[in-house]
Amino acid sequence: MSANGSLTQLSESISLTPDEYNVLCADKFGDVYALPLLGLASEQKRPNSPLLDAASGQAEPAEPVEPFVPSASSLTVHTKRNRNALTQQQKMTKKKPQKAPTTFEHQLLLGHVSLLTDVVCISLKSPAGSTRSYILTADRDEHIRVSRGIPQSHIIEGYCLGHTQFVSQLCLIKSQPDLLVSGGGDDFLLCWDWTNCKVRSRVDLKSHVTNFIKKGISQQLVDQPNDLKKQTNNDAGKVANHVAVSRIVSLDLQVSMSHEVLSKVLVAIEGSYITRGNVIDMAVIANQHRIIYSMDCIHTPFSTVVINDSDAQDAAPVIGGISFSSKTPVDEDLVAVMDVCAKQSTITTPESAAKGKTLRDLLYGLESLRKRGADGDTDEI
Amino acid sequence: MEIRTQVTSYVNDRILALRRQNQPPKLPTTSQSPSPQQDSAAPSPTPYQNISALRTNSMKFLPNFFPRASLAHLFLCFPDPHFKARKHKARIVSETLCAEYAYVLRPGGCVWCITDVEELAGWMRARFREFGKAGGTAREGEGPEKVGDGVGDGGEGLFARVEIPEEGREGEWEDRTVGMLVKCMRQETEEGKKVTRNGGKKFVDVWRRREDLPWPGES
Repeated sequence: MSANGSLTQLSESISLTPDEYNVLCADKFGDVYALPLLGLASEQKRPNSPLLDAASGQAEPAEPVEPFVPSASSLTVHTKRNRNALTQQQKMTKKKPQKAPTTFEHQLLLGHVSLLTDVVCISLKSPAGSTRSYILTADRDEHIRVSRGIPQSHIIEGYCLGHTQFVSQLCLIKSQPDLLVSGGGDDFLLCWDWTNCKVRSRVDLKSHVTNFIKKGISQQLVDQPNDLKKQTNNDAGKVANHVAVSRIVSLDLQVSMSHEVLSKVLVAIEGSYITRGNVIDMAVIANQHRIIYSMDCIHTPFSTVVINDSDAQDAAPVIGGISFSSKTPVDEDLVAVMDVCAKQSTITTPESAAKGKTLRDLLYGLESLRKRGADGDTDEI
Repeated sequence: MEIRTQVTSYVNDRILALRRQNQPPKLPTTSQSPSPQQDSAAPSPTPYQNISALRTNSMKFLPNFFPRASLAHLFLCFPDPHFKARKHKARIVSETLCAEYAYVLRPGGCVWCITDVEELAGWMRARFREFGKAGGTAREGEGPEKVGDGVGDGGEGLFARVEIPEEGREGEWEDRTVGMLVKCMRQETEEGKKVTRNGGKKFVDVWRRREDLPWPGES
């Protein structure tokens, strides 16, 4: 996007509307904003405003600074907390300069009161024959919300409720647009008839993941030193205990000689390992029947904690690819991995434990979404 | 629905006490009953069975409790004002939460709000008035509205303002339900009584949810 400004909040997830006019951004406060994809005309009208950085939200105030008047009085505060707030406000003499608004057009569409993890949009043909556009949003509090698209995104059509842990990924199937696959911190994936908010099926992940890891580890650890083996084993136990879905993608494959379309859904779990590195993210190149994935070769296989100290690391690639054809099943293709581009890794091995933590938080942030304690709520919001 | 544990257990204790104090008189039993049917005749039901309190975060989980268009009335009584600007998003009425209230309320159902903070009353009024209007909604950054600004700027939102009687005149109001409920909010709630004792002002607003708009392109 060639925007000359920046959102003042970190964007968690972005998606393109079906008419490709707007980009939807979901932020960590739970709001979805629509930004026009080609907003050049409106930008040229504005003067050259400096780039707004989230850290320094102060711009020169346009109006003279007014004195600040608290909106409460001693009659209207009933709790100790509010009384303290009122006392502080009465001491304030000047209004703080407001953060200057973002310099390009943006519109608040909808919001959850919780961290949004994914947003997707789709247009469907209704029974009446017209086109209906929808926005689907997922959050940390196990909700999947189905709303109408722009301009009626404030109308909620329904909620798909069924997850017991955070939802991190939503995936629509192109060939069957009324199907939604969702995953997150649960041990299973859910497959939805989302226009009716009903669960169609549930796919157990835990057993598959455990077997995959066990098989992978036994193949990997043949020539590793003993202490590393023990560490990886402990850590892989952690991966097997908690499944966190980091990416779900789907690919439609045309079965040759027929009109049948086979849809394959690929799920990446945080910390899962393919051939040379832990999978971080995946993307689909539909017309080549190929999936590219980015990988982390810094940590040992299946581990999100232990750094790999081997010398071969400097030549490790960060991008890999899997090619599909409808005849061969997925497992066989993993053996014959095709390198789309093999790059020198530009990430240097972290020297201290602190840097290692920064790297780990950057690459593997999903587990932090899981709620701790029996009751995820406190008495504060 | 209340987020504070102590308040929830207090309310539940009050409900239990009301039930115990208001049990209907038991029918006297005689050694020779005229017929078995009379003995097993059900006593009149204990009142206060249709109320309870639940400890939950309604801002996050309201849609988990109620399906679409299931509620007839929603009461927001003396919500926490959250004065500081950065806490405005924790207010129980916001642009984004109006969508959830519209979802659980059935068309024709009402939201009843009362507060003693004028700025908050203006804020809530602006949110409900602007919600669902075509061509953009009330920006969160806009300043507080003064109470009394009841005129919209054209276009219909999803909520229609309901006329309510002044304090003291509820008994004469044509719509008996509205009169009774407004009077209850003003005078029967503990907060309402406290505000009266302190000589403060109460601000009441009632909004009726309209029918959903049809999908664009459909009638």
